[in-house]
Amino acid sequence: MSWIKGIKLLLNDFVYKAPRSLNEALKLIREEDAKVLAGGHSLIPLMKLGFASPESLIDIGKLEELQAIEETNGVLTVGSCVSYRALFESEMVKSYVPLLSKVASQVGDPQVRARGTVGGSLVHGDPASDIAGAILALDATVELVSLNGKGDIVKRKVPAREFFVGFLETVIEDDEILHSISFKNKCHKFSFQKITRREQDWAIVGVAVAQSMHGIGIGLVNLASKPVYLDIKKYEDISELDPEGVSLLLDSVIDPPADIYGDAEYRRHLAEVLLLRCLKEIKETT
Amino acid sequence: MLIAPITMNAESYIGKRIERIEDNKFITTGATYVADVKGGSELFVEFLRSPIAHGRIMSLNVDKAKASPGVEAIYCSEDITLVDINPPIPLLNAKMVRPYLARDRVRFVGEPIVLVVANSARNALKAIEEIEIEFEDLEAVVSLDDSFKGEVLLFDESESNVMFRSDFTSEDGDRFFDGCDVFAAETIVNSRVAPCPLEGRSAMASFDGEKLTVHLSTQAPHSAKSTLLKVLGLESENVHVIAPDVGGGFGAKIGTYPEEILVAYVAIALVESDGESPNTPKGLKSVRWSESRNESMISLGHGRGQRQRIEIGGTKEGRITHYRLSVMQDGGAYPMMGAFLPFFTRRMVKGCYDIQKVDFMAVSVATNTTPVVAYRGAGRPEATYAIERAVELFARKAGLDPADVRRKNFISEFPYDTGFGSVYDSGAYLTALEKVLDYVDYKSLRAEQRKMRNMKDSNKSLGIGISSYVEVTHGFPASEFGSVKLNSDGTIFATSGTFPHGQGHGTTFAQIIADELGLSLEKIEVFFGDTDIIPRGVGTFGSRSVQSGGVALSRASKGLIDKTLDLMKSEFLDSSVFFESGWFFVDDRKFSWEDIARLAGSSNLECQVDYAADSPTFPFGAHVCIVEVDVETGVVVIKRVVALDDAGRIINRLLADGQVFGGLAQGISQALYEEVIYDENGNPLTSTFADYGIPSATEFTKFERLEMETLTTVNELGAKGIGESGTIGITPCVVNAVCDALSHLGIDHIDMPLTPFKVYSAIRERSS
Repeated sequence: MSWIKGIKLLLNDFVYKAPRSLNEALKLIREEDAKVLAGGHSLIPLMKLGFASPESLIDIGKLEELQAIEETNGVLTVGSCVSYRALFESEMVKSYVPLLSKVASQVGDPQVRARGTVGGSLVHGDPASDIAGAILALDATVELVSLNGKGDIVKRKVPAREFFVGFLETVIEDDEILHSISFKNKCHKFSFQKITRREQDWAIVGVAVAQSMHGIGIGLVNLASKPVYLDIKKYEDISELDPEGVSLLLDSVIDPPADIYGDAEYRRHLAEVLLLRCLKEIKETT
Repeated sequence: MLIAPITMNAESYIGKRIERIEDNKFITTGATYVADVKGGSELFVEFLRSPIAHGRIMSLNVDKAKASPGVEAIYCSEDITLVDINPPIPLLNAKMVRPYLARDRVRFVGEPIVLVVANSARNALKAIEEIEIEFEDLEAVVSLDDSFKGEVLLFDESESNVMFRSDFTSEDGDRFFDGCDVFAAETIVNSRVAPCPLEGRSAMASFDGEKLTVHLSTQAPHSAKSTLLKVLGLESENVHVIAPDVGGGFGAKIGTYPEEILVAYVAIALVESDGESPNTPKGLKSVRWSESRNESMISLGHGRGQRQRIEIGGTKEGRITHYRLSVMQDGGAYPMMGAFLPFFTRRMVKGCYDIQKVDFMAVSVATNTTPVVAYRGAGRPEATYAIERAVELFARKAGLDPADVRRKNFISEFPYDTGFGSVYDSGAYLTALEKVLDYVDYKSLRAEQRKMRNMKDSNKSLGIGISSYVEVTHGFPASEFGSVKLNSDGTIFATSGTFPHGQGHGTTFAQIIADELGLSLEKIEVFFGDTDIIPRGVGTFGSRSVQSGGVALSRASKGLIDKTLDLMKSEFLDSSVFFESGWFFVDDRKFSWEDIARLAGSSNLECQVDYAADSPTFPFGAHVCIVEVDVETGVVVIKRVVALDDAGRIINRLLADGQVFGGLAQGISQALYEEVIYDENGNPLTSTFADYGIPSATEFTKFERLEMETLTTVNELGAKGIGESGTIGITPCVVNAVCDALSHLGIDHIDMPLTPFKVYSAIRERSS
């Protein structure tokens, strides 16, 4: 077998634009082959691997309204460009949804946490995203914005549990920007367990569980082609869940990947162990 | 010659914990690495590297690349007029010759094929993207067994893939272990790792028509110089190698790589063809290359890479009487130092144990992977790993405590001739082990382990790992240069042929000189890494620097005193003249070094010494590691690491801690995280820090270090080497600990790295 190859070594040239308003950003992303840039911790690696080669990058990372963390009428809203660090340093996040705080504190390493953003992680739709697992467990709502025909900003709300569609695929349209994520339920009982090779690595498997007065939510990390939500609404009391029950439940939603860090069977096993540990921790939380 | 040991007192700098003089520049932006050195009109070199592991180059078209913006020149194999590279050591297969740029055939992913010179690194890379190349894929030889079978040969000129071979001496074969009550055996892998210096390779060369100046990130500037002058056919005075600050080497920067030599070659070639190029002005050009991390992961040499068959036998009381080690070494695509590593493994085959019947064999084979080179310990960690795993397996088979088995078998009389090319100079192996065991309260730990195992519903299992090691430093004693000179202001300027690349010789050596001359530390500057200023030198590797370069400077300091005394005696005839604690006494008058500098005027007070030790030295120690294994997930957590590393006299305790701690981190990392992985087609799967398990500080616990100093008589400092000991002892210690934690599940061995997946898989296999 023989083949000819021009070997790709460099990023393609692209135009970098830093709009001053959300409106301007929404206009710019309608241009051909434009991509939204926030912290750059998902997109730039894709570009380096040659999986993405946009003509222009629209940097929304400097837009202040996307950096806000605020509480209105009992709903906590986190701007899409809030960094992991800002997330776990926020007292408001800690008091409202401490699970998110904890998860953010464990993403990657300090450099990643300083630049990577919550919105960037979500729109990337990586099945191994810890943040996605937390958002699913917390039953958050994702708010997307775009421009209508008159040039006005319109909003679209999508439940987090409907946001992820497939491998690196979400419901977000090319002309939309993820504006913010909101949490309507305070949630103090939670557990997050993940297994990594090194601290800074992606989770081999992760499980996030949150319990509010409205029920229990479970987000699974790196167990299928997309972040997975596990529905256990039919169990009123989690103490009813025995290992066998957990195992059956998991099999209904997961399709674990295999790589050098673990085969599918190992990941399936970890999911079971970690989920049981999470449930135990929640049960023991007073 | 019998040398009196140095004398020390409370004021001595030797033995103190002194912060590195170098620290300030290294923790700020003050250091100057090769890529920071400015010079001339700058040209940049980049390489087209093979994307496949094994193939024939059917066609190569660089026309479009030549026309790419900013390109100065392009070189393919046929444009290089240098003689191909022979194996670095005569014992290696001489038919395995390497062209500087791949000719007709590529043998590993990352092998350079085309060299492009352009006015920026980016333009050079852009041009490379324009190169058209056609390969015929050949079957890649990746596994050691496939290589040894030799159905596919890497070199048409060689009838086998064998690079190096060392056979058993005993002819007993299967009957070797006859008469043993207890016998244990296992096949174990000492995984291939990437050295990962934080500064990758970097070279910058310029040629003025006569003299070649090369800035190089190296561990051995003088041997780089001798390689360059030999290969390029230049006179010694026309080659100037400068090693500025170097950010780590770990053995991989001892030799000079084809890429680095090509940078120098291009610098000369471009001057000789000056005027032909439209892109750069005539005159002095500097040609530079700094590798990317990705290049470093696939084309800087790798380390380790041995598969070992360990067989051990003895009495049921725990006396080990027989041991046999068979090694298969992965040499990678071309024979470099890695193919020769089994020679060092053989030298340390017995470890700390007095075993009557020992045998060793090794075969190094070629595979379509990155060549293997020396890496921190280079062959000795492999020997220690083998014997320390073997002793553990023996103890388990005999139903004895592994500490007791070690106690029963230690060598205790010195010097001790192993019969395998090593004569251990001094040691106290039992004392070292007892010290660490006492320190961790070994008995209580075993009791705690039993208690934990009886606890129901616990998913945690405690493991206690022990290792005792002896290693060889300054393995091939070579003469090292040192000079000590009195400046006109009474300060000292010293030079050494060793070359620190993170170790802190500037501080350590200043301590040695300061003690001899009775001066305070800040009066002394030690200079390294410039072949025009330092006439000779060997470099820094194999934990040799203090015991070669340090001793040379100690003697040069003494020589400077003697020279000064001679001068004084000729000045003050008929007076009693002597030197003590930094003062020259002449009858009732005394002179400081400052006074001497004034008195001496223009007379040159400098002493140069070339010192060659008579023999290597053999540092030793004992490590204990305590781990907790989560048997449900396979996760290993290190709870404690206790290390006793005895390297004879320690010059600077703080820097010795640093050497040991860094070594421990690298050794633990091999045990738990790091491994270079190839797929069956020879594609590297670990060519970034995201994929390769390079650790961060987060991965480690606090290290506890116990001190012990058993002096050597090989040199007057009493010093052995401590640069590699941490790496040597801790790797088997961690694996012993994890296997100890899982012993009740019937698990004898798991190959490194002990990732959660591998540990869990072993548990899963046992329980099904």
